[in-house]
Amino acid sequence: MEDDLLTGIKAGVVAGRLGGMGDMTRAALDTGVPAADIMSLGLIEAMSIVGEKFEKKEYFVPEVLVSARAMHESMDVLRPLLEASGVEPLARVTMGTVKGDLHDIGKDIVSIVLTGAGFEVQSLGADVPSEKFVEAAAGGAGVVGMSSLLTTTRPRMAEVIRLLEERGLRDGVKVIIGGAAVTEGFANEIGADGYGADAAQAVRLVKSLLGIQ
Amino acid sequence: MALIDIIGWVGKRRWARPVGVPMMLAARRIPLATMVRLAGRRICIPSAGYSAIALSGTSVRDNLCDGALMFETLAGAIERFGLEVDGTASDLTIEPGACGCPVTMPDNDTPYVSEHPFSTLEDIRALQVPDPLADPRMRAMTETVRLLSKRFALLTVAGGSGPFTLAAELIGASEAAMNTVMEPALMHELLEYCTRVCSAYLAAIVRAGAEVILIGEPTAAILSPASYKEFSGAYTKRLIDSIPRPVILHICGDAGHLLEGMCATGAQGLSLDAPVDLPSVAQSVPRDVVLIGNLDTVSVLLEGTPERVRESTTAMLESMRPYKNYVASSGCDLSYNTPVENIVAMIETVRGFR
Ligand code: B12
Repeated sequence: MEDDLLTGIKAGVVAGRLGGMGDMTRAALDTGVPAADIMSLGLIEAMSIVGEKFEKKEYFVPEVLVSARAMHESMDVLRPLLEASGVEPLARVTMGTVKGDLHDIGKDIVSIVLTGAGFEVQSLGADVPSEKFVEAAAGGAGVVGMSSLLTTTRPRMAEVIRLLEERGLRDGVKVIIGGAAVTEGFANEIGADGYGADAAQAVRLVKSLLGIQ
Repeated sequence: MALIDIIGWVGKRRWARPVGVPMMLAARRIPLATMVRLAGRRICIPSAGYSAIALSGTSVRDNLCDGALMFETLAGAIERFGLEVDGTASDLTIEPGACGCPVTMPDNDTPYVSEHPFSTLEDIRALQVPDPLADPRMRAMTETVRLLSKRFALLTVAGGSGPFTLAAELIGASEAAMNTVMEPALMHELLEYCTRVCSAYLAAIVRAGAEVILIGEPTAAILSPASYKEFSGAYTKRLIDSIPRPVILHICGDAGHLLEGMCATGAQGLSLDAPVDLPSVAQSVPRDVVLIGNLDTVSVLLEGTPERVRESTTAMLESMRPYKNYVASSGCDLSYNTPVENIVAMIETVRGFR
């Protein structure tokens, strides 16, 4: 029974079944499945399946976004319980697309998958002034993620890193970058902590930077 | 001398207009694939509108807002590069701007839609189809086309946004993507509206004298083949059916998975970006559809040397040698900062290739 409910939640997220995820989650809680299990065995596993399907081109951007919304329906039920029981998010990640760049789909997908993996993600949107990333770091974000799809906007990433250094915030935060305009090499060049080619890599990257298993 | 060279030579000379103009009027009735086959050598369309602006020393913003200035800029580039096909700089913020989205226009970079203010069915139902004669930026672009075809008897390529790309600007790209699954009825209503907007604007471009219409549908690249057909292809087809000129359909990025759907729109030309392997695609595309592409705009044209551009262009031309239905081009619009020597290297390599 419990297993059925958990499997149902997982399948619901993978299939992007909207509208009933909250009820399913409450039903699972009622039968005694711990919130943390629903989170890790249901939602996080579901989102990693979604990520795999995206990489295999079984899923495209719309399907991923809808699965993410289904995950959020369930998360909305779980969040108060997890907070009350003192389960902290793994870390706080701030994510945005740099100033002058409006491509926001890629960073949305990365944000979603990171949320699915147990991180708290604050989304700054697209066309984000460099100052905003710095403010987020000052406000306690452990990871700053930047996306750039335009060759003309990627210098902004170096600018953010420079501003973080000037404010003495650089050591307290991990800076990760991604998007079609940047590469591993560019990340090294500007002194970022890491580069991710896709959302699954972004999760592995953040975990390894923070020393999370 | 190839036929296309003669057309280019005649088309640039004012005194030759009595010959050039009837030639262009005749060209309007010839399918794109036939024109390409008759050209006598490979045609090159560099998509260098923004580079033309850089070359002119005037700002991107001024050009996009002032049709006469944009015409001067493009005329300069036609002479400088010796083009035989003239095209405007593509600007996919014109339609969303006319529909009411705020547009940010940097002095010297491509403009962008900075907010997507519509979301509900009520919002969408309240939208009016902009009048291309009344909206200032639609008017500027049609004015550019009018001046170009008055001055040059060349194939004028001009166009605008595709329906899904416009829809994504109006409500936001992620919202549009999700709504294909969650709110298909809302999307269809929105796309009906967008198709009407695109159709009215492109009709004005045709009336201004464009010979070939280019529809840019980049945001459709994120759709699956099935939802492409439903949410972009079907509307693009209706749009194309409403246009009495050959249409080229462009999708940026890796659009290989959408090819079949793109062919079904009735587009006479498909313009594809660098990630698509043209020679392998060429086998599955009907002979009467022209393939256009696809030199890498960033790693080759923006960041490469002229030597590298010549090598890549030659390799591209060699790989497409068996196919008559092919026009050489960059994969996408060239960036404002693309070195002029690189553009010249691409054009000259194409021109000299036999
Ligand atoms: C859709 C699209 C648009 C839409 C954007 C809609 C939106 N709101 O996002 C519109 C039509 C608005 C658009 C506009 C433009 N675009 Co555009 N666009 C694209 C396209 C086709 C797809 C992008 C996309 O969403 N992909 C799907 C997502 C899921 O992939 P992704 O973004 O790469 O993200 C993945 C990874 O990169 C990674 N990732 C992303 N961010 C991050 C961040 C971190 C921290 C990590 C770890 C990982 C990570 O994970 C993601 C998930 O797997 C690309 C083509 C391409 N090859 O990417 C061009 C492309 C990005 N665009 C391009 C250009 C040039 C433009 C314009 C300048 C066009 C013009 N001439 O007007 C304008 C610029 C507007 C602006 N100022 O931003 C070029 C960029 C070239 C360059 N390197 O400079 C591209 C590459 C096309 C091309 N070949 O020329 N575009």
